[in-house]
Amino acid sequence: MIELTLLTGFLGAGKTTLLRSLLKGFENEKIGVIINEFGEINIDGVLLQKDGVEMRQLSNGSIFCACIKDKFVTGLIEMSGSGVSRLFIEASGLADPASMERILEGVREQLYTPYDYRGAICVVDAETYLDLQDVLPALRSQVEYSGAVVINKADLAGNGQVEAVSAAITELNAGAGQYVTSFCRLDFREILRRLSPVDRESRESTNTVESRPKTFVLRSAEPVERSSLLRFLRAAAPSAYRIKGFCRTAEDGMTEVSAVGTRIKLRPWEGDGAEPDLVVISSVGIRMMSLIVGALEDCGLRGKLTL
Amino acid sequence: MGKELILKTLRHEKTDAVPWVPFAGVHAGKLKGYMADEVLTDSDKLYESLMEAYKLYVPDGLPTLFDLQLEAEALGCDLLWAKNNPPSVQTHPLSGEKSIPCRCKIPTEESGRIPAVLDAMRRVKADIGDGAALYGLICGPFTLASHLRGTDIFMDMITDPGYVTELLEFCGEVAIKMSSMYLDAGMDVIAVVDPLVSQISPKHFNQILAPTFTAVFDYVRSRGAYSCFFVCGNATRQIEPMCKTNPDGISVDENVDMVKAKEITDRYNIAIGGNIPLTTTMLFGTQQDNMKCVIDLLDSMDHHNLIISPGCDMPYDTPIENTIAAAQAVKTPDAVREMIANYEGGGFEDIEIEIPDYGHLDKVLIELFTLDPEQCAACTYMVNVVKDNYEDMKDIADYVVYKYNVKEDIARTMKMGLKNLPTMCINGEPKWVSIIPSREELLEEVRRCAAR
Repeated sequence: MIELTLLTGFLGAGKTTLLRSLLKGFENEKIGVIINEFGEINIDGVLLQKDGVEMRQLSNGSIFCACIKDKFVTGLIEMSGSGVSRLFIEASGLADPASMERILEGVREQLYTPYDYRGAICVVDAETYLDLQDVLPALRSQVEYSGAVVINKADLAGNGQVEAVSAAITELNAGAGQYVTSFCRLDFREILRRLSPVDRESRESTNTVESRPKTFVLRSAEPVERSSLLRFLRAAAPSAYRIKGFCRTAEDGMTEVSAVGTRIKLRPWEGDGAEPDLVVISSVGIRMMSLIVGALEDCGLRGKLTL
Repeated sequence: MGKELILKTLRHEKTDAVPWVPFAGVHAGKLKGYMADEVLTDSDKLYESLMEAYKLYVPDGLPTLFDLQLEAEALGCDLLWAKNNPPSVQTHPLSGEKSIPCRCKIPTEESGRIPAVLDAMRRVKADIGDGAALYGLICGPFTLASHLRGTDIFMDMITDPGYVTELLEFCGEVAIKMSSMYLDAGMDVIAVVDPLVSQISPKHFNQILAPTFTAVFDYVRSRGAYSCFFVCGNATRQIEPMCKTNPDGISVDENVDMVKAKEITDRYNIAIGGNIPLTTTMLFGTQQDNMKCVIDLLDSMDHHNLIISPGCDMPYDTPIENTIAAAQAVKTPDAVREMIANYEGGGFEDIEIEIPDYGHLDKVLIELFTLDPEQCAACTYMVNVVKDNYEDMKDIADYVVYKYNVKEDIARTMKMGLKNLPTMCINGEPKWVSIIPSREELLEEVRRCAAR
């Protein structure tokens, strides 16, 4: 049996950080990873590249949406014949995983080795979760269908905020274990040991082609000043669910970029395989195009970062 | 000089001359003896036709392909092909199913006829790319949305604007992708051609359409290229909202008073192009008519931010000499002005037309005065709203379609005193001028007239 764990959580909540720790913790095992992103470009795949990891990347939609569900099913079947002992699936930020068990049931007959579905771990951002769960129904579904919920970024949360998030999660799913942390620092073996699938009937996912946010990709044609990049990110990030990826800066060369709301992180990237692409996941639809073009002009980046 | 003249105009710089852009779409095929369907599907024939248009019509800017159905076809609409016209959309994949297509359906360089178009663009660019500014024409997001959804979209705008906004945004993504492919193939200007924009209210334009159009023009600008917003029909009240979406140029047809429209575009420092009448002047007029028309346009407006062009895609059978005459007038206005000093023109008044006795008809008479019900998208949708709902009113109403490319119909349109097309008359009264009624509005009006 291959132990299968699903990781869910909104854009920027910390799923990739959690997955990175998990991979480190199982260095001696052959691990499979399926990474799912909305955009055409898969950033997390680059962040997680590691020897001994069998990886599949599914871009351009949610694995629970009809648009790429067939590729997800093929990925599950192939992975079951690849000799891995564990499989982690990192769902895209707005994935509604309500149909996970139904999908597994559907492929059972075609698997080379059966999966033991251990359930879902959902990562939530303590600072922003309460605001977002009201506007994005997929986030509630992620909590409802989780065996464990990691309340991350507790260090950034205000007074009483962690308790309020915890209460909201209990209201949605009283049976889920809750783990409060920052930087996803956790005893994940303990979480995995106690994890179990939720006792809730599987239903159709609300992920449809319509409910997918628009994404825009910016490529750095030439290195840009770090200060200009920061100004651009400050201007664009409030209208984006998330900005992530890589950009070449004059100071640090290839730089990993992550922006959620007003929190912006730039880190020199020392790994391989990164292309200088920044993915902007819009929260304002196609208007993001005009905001990006305006911000690039204001920050002197026209022609340096190109759409 | 030709290409630079266009680019300077779209940069709103002072120029020594007024640029000329003949919209030779399927008509370019005629120059080489190819039919419309050949020139729109075969890259060799398209390339040859464009090279011939460049040679004969000395354009400063040259559109490479004028077919607003290209994207719709790639997205699953069935087309009805014609020999003398671009194809028309026959089926609407989203008719009866209010959904948004998957982003995985957005056309790529391999979709539908796009490979042939890109191939012709690259070859034309290599051969005459320094001489003329090349225009890549894309289907505007609203017309594309209508192709996908059908006439229901006009009712959707009232009952479910959220849905229309989402569909528009999807079509905007298609427009951005098409622009990207055409710019990569060497186009200098992206023309977003959206005839249906003239058929809705400025309020709807601002609320539902404007962000998507703005995004497309901003994208083109971010690529260092130029953009134009082409509209057909009576878009007079849309000129200002269109300016606010920030294209580099706007192009209008004969339904718009270009002098008044230019006052608005000048306020926004946007170039304006137009508006030689397609049928009365280009198709049925004489060389002198075409020369006079161009000279009248040049003499009625300030030349800054001005482009002279046909009102829209030229009819296939436009006499070559008429286009040459128009080109001549743009290039050598002083000499041509002398040639036509005493020329009056005209001629349609002599055709005898019988106007129905509207007060004594057995049934309500719906008359659809169109430019061309197949070629003009706005006309197609106006005709379709009647055809699609005719079953529900056939006992109380008749309908008839007139085309502005038939001489008798032109004379009838003039005799009725109609200034803008398409127009729908009910018992002789112009009821909808450049506005497409919803099914409910149409049925209500017909029943009201029948009850009299």
